[in-house]
Amino acid sequence: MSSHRLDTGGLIDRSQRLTFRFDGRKYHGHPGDTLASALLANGVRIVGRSFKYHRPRGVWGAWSDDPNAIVDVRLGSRQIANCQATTMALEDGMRLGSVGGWPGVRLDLLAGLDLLHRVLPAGFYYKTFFWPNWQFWEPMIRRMAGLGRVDPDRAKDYRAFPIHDQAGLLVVGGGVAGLTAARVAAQAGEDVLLVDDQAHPGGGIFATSQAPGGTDPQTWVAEQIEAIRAAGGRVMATTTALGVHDHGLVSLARLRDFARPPQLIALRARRILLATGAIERPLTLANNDRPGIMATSAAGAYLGRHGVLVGRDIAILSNNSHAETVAQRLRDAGAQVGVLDPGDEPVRILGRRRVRGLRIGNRRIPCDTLLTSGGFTPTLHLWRQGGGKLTWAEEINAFVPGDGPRRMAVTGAAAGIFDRDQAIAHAMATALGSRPPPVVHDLGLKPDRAIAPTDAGRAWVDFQGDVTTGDIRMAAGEGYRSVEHVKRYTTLGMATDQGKTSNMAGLDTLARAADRPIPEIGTTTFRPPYVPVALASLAGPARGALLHPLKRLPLEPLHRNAGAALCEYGGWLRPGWYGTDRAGATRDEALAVRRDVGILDASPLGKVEVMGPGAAQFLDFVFYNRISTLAPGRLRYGFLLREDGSIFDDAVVARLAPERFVVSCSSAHVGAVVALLETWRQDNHDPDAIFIHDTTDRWQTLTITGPRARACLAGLLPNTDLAAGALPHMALTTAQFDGAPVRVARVSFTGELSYELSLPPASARALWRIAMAKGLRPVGMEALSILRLEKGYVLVGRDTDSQTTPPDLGFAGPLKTKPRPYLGDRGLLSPAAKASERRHLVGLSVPRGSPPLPVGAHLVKGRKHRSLGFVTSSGHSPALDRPIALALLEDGQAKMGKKVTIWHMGKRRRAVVCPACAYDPEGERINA
Amino acid sequence: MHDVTGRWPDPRQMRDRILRDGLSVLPLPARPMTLISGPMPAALAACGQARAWGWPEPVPDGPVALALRRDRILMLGGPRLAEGWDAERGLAVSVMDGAWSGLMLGGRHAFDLLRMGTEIRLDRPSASVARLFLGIEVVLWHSAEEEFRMIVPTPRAAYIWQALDEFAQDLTAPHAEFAISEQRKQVRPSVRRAGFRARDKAPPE
Repeated sequence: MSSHRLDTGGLIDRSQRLTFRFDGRKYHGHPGDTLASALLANGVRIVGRSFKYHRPRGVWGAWSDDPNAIVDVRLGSRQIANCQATTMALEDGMRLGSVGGWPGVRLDLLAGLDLLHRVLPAGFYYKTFFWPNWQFWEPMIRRMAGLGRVDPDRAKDYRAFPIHDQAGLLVVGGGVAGLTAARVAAQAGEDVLLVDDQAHPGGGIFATSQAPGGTDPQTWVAEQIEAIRAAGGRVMATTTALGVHDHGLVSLARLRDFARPPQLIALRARRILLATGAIERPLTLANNDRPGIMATSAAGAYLGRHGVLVGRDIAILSNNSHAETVAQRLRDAGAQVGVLDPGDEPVRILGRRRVRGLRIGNRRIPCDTLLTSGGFTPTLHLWRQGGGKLTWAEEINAFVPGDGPRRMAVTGAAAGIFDRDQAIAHAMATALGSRPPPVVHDLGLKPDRAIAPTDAGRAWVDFQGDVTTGDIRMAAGEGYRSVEHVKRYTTLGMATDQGKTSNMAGLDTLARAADRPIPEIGTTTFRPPYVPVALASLAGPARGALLHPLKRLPLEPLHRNAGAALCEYGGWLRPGWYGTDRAGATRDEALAVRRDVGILDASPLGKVEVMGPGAAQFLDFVFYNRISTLAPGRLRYGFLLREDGSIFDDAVVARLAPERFVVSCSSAHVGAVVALLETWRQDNHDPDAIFIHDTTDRWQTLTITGPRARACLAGLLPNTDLAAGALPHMALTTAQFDGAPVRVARVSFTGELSYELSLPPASARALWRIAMAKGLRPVGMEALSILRLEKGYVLVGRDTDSQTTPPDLGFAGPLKTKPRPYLGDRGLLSPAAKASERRHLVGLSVPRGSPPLPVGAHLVKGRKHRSLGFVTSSGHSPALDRPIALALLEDGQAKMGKKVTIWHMGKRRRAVVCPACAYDPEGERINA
Repeated sequence: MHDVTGRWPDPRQMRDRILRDGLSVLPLPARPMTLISGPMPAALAACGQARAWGWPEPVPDGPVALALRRDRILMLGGPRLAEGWDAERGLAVSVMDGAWSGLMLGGRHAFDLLRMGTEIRLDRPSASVARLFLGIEVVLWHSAEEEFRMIVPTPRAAYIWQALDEFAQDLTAPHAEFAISEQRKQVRPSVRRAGFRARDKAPPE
């Protein structure tokens, strides 16, 4: 037996012995121990150092409210940083490393910082480090700050995947109230799920060893769980409710073995009953952070759950009657316990690295452990997150639940009910949906001396963040009134425990400093997660290839065979170029299209079918251009606008039949265009006369482009008349290839004779193979980008911004001739849309031999570099053998031929404004 | 643009089936698929179906019409209709062969696998089999006891397949505790309380 482990009692398995190390020293524990209980059992008092002053810290609490015991844990090859020692289960072979001390917490050379506390108050970094500048000091401060260290290599395979679940009634908390509520609800036929964050539900029942009916606590808890399960309910231990979100969604974190992060459960509950208990507050005495000072209830929990007697000579300072129960339990276990009542006499805590005693007035009271209790704070984080209100209960000096959403309720200590029988009655009634008995808040509070901050010495409010009552008073003195501002200025409640122990003491201190009542001060915002949770749990599958997944081309294997370098374009993984030399391949591919023929995979282009007797009229409304006049078998380029007249996307519309159209929109915008069309279909149009089918994935589109395109295609489609007269530019026909239908659209984004072939995936693969066998040059997106740039064709989103209208691009015709109304027409007629300083799309010319203009560079005017616009696209034209660029330029059409200044990263260049189309402006090649 | 070829696994190198204890995911052979929009009775009559299937009723094999929304069905198999606008019946018809890829999920963990990608319940029926799975629009139906089928957009198939593979590893790992759905099947029809009555009727002052 170690000095603090009892021979009997607790929920541990004494038949097995676990070995672990803490800061290199070897210790033993048992299954059922937490890291903290094992350390306490071995007499370890200093488990950490405070964040700022590096003061020694011991275990304060017995569960997630503890702010002090943070350790790095390594087991085998797995290392996890910043584990709460009070909640993590001990496993054999664990190696625990303290955080916050250098070189360790027993001997911390940085402890000297405590001597400088007068120059390191809250917010000192806002007032100091002005010389030479903050950037000089920041790296040093950052090196000293922080807690544990993450091992990035070992975090790679630390993955968790969320799962969805549901329940009729979710009961959060497995104490007496929670177990009772879950049992009666399950027996009444409710679909019950009870979650409790401990491995052994029971809440505070083990701390007091008082179970209903005088039974043994372990037996009573087991009976309740068995009854819940027998009635069809479920009980999930080691599961913490992290947050309550909209529409009854509750995020749960379920602990698994050490090697895996907690599993996140997205639970949808019809009703949520919170039986989350209450958290014991520390007393704000001078030096109340010494190792050996602990929450009274925590001492009871370590005794009841782990068979650990936290001290032999224990003093208790408490402002409520709860301490008497724990004191008796500790006496029964063999400790000397004195429950002290200091009255109005000043209290001084003796000892530095551990508590040695107390001095009350002139009396010296030796002790090795001091248990304190400043009352209890109902745990209402989830209640507030779900929209519940708080009211102040003067009887217990605490906020209790007020009005709240209909689907949520609170019972037990969380509702401010500290009497066991009353809690059971309240829980039963609430769970069954009947009216609960009136709540009586009674904690046996003594006159409120203990919660009052003392003036002598430094009294800690936030142990982990090193926030003292003096810090809060200073903030109040500097004019901070809102508790939210005080929190951020002092870091009160911003440590990993998120203020579970410190918030009420902080509020009290602020209220006294501001001379306002606590209810008027209010609380800070309760935000999820309730306890720290591994980011891996929240990330879920979103990692590696599952993070921002791209759409994949059905022909991707064939592109890989052809040596494609795959890049992301608009959410698709597409060939950027073919080969290893990017620049060379891009140039050669572009030249192949200009001089011979190439083939490119344009499958992501939208193929959105709009059908029905109302389709033509509908498209007239949603497009800037008139579509109803389009003849079957013809194509038209047009714009979809937003309501303000700006360009939403551009598209080529094909009319396959009088009542059937295909909108071929930009590859990256298909989903948005479908949503826009569907929105307007259901607004002011007859939805039974218009139907929208997104067939983009049904048709693979291969573009054969270049002067030799017709000859190449003739070999593939021998029965189709491809002559310019039969199939002119912007016309469409259908044919058969490989026994499947193929749509042949003569439309070009390269400026060359082009045919877009849309065909089913299997046929597309066959056609690609034939094209490769015939020696057609595969063309990637980089070459296409150059080719379209030479022609001045825009990419919406790149060559346009959120204000660009069609007239800005030179498409003013429909505005003058098309009947209204149509989507965006009012915006186009607004004064802003007709202003002279609008930015027009223009080309920019720079001398041959100079480098391309940088994309994003500003076109500027005057000494102050007022921006007149910016370069939208730029590159070197292989066909023209010179740099070319597009830009949006203020009143650009009036500046044709004039020189403009380009400013980028402090450097200036000159360029001449020219038409956007730099290659074949007459369009002879496209109409060949 | 950056060459990210190596970041994305070659679809040809992905395993062609996922087989684990109590779980299998297999690709479904391609079937003719036709998207039909318009009045539901006319759509069903056009493809010779008596009804459109929803969730969670087990959908039989063979030509079936799956309901996607009030005015849209997806016909699997069955007679091939002419594409385009059917003025006589008031139907829009599009052949969708190859646009979607099919998966079959089977085994006692199959439903849990689905729950990792979507919020779904066996006891909450829906007239539609259209769902969001991992944020992607899919068609998901119950085909038999412990067997589900899902068709996903072909460009997204590699992502969903990889995600299912990783989910399956997690789901069937040692010490995994995913007996939730099995346990739920034993729950008798639950009383449905929408709220806590205590808050509905405040006692008079």
